[in-house]
Amino acid sequence: MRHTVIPFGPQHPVLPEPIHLQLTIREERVVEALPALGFVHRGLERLVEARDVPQMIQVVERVCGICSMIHAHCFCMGVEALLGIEAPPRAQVLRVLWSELHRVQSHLLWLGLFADCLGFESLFMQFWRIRERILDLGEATTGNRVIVSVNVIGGVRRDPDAAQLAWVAAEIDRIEEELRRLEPAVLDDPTVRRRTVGKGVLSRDQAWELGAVGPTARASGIAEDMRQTNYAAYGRLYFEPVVETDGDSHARLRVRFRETLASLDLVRRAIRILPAGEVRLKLREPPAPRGEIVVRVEQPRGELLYYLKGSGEKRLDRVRIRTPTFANLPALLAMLPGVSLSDVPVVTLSIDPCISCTER
Amino acid sequence: MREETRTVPVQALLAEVARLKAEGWRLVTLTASELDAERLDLLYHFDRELRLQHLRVAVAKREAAPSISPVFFSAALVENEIQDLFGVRFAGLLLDFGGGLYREPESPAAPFCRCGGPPQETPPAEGGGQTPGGEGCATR
Amino acid sequence: MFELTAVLLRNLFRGPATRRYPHTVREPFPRTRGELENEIGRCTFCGLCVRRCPSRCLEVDPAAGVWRWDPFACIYCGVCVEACPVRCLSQKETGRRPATARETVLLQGTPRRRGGAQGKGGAGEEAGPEPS
Ligand code: SF4
Ligand code: SF4
Repeated sequence: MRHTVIPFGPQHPVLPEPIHLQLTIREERVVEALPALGFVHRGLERLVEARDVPQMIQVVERVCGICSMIHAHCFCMGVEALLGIEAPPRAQVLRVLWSELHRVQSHLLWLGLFADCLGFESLFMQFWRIRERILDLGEATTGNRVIVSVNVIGGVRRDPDAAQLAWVAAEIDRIEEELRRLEPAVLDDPTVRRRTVGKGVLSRDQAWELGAVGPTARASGIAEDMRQTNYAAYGRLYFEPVVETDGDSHARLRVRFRETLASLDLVRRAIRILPAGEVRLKLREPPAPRGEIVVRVEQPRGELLYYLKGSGEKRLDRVRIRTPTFANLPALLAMLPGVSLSDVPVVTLSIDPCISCTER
Repeated sequence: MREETRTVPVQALLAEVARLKAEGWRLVTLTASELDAERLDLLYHFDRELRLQHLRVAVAKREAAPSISPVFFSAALVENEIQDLFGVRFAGLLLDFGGGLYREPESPAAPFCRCGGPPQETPPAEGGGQTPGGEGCATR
Repeated sequence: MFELTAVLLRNLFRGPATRRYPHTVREPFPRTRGELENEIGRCTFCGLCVRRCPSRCLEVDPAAGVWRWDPFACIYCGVCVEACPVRCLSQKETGRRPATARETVLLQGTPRRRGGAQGKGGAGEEAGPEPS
């Protein structure tokens, strides 16, 4: 039997970002997939040598445009731990609020792209239309639309007032209602099911062995979510991870859809428990962290790890960022064999690949 | 580091990683940072039920470090990344890009090693790209 | 099966969700971080904004009294606005319009006299006099 080798990407209609997969095909089924990366490597980690600690916040935000808030949140938590300070309680809750808004908009972006990759254009439009309103909430409360630039060492830079928070809460309710209306169209639609159920199956053992994280791992039955470590204010929000056990593309779709609703709920509860008070510590001197630390948070795509090393200078010695897609790529390579060529785009998109954060 | 961190000799690394895997620790990732022109500090991060544990190994840049990808295949990608950025070699790496995961043939060698000078922020002008010469670094 | 049909029918009567930009422009939200403005008469050319800027898009020349901003390298983070000790920097709520050519904004003020900060508004004590 002859094999055919088909290049998939780096420019492909379903891929928002450049990754190249070399697919070995036999009779329309994938036998092997090999990745090629390096199209968007920017060397951001090395910028620590040229930027001081507060300036690095703006740099790490640019690792990923979609979840900039969560990158900055993670970085600031790490630096704060090294300095032995803690952001005030109100800032902690606000960070959760914005992180969850970012998760919602990231998942909505993905849900739209996923619908689009199935050829379901009107659903794509619906999700993106809702997403715009989440972006509006972010812009009105933080000052910037996508890369929100709201974290600082020792707190946050904006403090939404009561009227704004009431508006956010009301808008969240309306958005949730609209999403629930779309739920059957996403999850039960026969076309969607036919394209996703049983496609790209990743067993629980494979997911663990290959180090999958986030919704990709949770759709295979691994109930691990970094928010369970109760960083920031998650400990006060009684967070429960969303888990599915089928491990196929439809399970990943269900996890992300239910997580979107769960995140809206977290925003609502964060507003309810928001304490009064300061949002930003006054630092007496420029931060000069000393020591090593590993910080982990949950990004929309999964576990994000930062390793920071400082020697008491105003610039850190090393920042290492392990983004969730980096961890999910081996799992993707394991999902693809056996999949038919026409399903490769769907399965690839089902891990929500973010290549510019993978390569940084 | 807030979590348990153990320094292990290079020779004992593979056995130690295999033992952790048998105990149910998931490999999170590897971190490399430069110690000096000759040595690299490798940290292996493991997770079990949301708890972390780290192994620390000091490797010489000139010598190939043992790859743990036969134990945890998920290490292959990050070991390739470290090969690209720091110019070390991993021996026994499954899926070896040979230093070409991110880099092109004309890219600078070991771009994350500091001996090449401070990071360049603006790309060199069209056609006139000269990669900085690295003096004294073991991997250039 | 027909859930989306109901949504689509509703959309049919709701009118478009988009705006005919640039003919209709949405009002900016209050305190959106837009274009930078410098009240150059009050600027002391202390260079603090330059040192804090993460994207290195500012330059000051205290001797010539020049403040220069590259709006195309600026990431509109507002760090410089927070850093400015005399609060002469501010951000509009609207962003810059798209342009076809790259440009830098150059503002000419009065060069600082020797021996301290100048300008109205009692800027004296806070403005660190070290030139960058
Ligand atoms: S920080 Fe303010 S006063 Fe100082 S140079 Fe910048 S704009 Fe002028
Ligand atoms: S807004 Fe940010 S990027 Fe722009 S000049 Fe100010 S500090 Fe620099």
